[in-house]
Amino acid sequence: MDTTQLLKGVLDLAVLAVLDERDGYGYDVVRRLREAGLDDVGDASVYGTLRRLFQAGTLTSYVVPSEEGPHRKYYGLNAHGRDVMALSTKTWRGFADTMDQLITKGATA
Amino acid sequence: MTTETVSTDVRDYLAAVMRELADLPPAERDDLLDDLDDHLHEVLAEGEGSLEQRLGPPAMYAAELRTSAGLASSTTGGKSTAGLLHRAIDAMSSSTIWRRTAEHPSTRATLDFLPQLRPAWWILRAWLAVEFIAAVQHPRYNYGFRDELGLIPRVAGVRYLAVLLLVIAVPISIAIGRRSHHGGARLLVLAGNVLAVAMIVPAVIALRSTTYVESQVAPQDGLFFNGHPITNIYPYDANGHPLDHVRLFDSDGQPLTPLPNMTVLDGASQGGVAFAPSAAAVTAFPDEQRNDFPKPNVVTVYSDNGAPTTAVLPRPSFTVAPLPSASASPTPTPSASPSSTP
Repeated sequence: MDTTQLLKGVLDLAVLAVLDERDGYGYDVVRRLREAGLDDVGDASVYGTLRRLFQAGTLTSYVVPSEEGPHRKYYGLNAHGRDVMALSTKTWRGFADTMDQLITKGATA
Repeated sequence: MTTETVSTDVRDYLAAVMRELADLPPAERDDLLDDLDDHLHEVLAEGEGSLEQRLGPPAMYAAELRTSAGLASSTTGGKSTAGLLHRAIDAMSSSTIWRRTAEHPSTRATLDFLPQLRPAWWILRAWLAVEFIAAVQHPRYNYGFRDELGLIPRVAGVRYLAVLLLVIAVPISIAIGRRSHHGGARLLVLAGNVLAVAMIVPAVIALRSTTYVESQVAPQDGLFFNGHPITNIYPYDANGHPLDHVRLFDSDGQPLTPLPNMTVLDGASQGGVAFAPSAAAVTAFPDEQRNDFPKPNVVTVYSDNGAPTTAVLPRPSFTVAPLPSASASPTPTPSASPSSTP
């Protein structure tokens, strides 16, 4: 199954989850998603998602001066972001359970 | 990999992505690309391949960025012609041969010079636009390009209308050229330019059409002056006295002979009586005197019963002023005689 198609629906939640753990800048988020096992995540998708989540008012943003390179724009969850995250998590769990049952029934039948 | 090539790669990729997002409002686009420069540097610093290998073509990156950011797909991106065009240009510009050619000094010099020709193109395309209007105007005048086009084309059959249109079209074309365009306007200008280039061929053919028409005239027998047949020649000397029995030859010694001068005063042809040139008219031009001028003005008159009567008309009466310089020598001798006589 093409995971890029699956990713499209859950990338928001994945990014929110990564940032809920700890704040990060764009490429840091990309790296952490990949380290977590989402190998197929596209760089541009992550950057676009970050921007959209920020526009939607779920993220805070601040610039951190970096010693070795340019200043980096860090993102973190704000209160609204945490609410959205909680709601999305609930939706995902319900969806995942449903899919799980469906697949298990299919396999045992 | 040196720092210089890194920054060139980043700059090229960044520019290509930016071009794909050209339709977005500048603030939105800048916001979207805010982190891209750092991102690209970071990806390259990992040393696991070029930007294209890691991130895919710039057009794809831009499309992905746009979709995930929740922005509408553009007119220049996606499946549109301009998007495909950009992608093709991107693919072409990344090939080695192309890059070497583009970076050659003579190519650079030519490319640097081209922008200076833009004002000339602006004026040329204004003229082409008027030619186009002239070509597609009212069907009544639209027999073909040749009749309506030309240096100053005819619009609705009137040339000064085209002059008026040119006076309007040139400033408009210059104004369009001086401004930069985005999105739909840019496509519109591109389409207009393509149309103007397509118009060059019929316009140039129209400019040359006069030459074509003249070359298509079949050669005719006899003597002609400005396209009109000459039936007789009346020589005069320098003092204005009429001359008889003057023989004319061309530079090859060929006698100059007009077509037989036969005025037919036709009293009977209306009654359906057939007639033929009379023997007298024919014998008035014996072969050896074909270039003897002036010819006798032979007139054949047909009576009602079809019988021909031949008469010789008097020489037409017109006077010729003597040449100003010739008054001293009343009988000028010819300076050269024909090299050959028939």
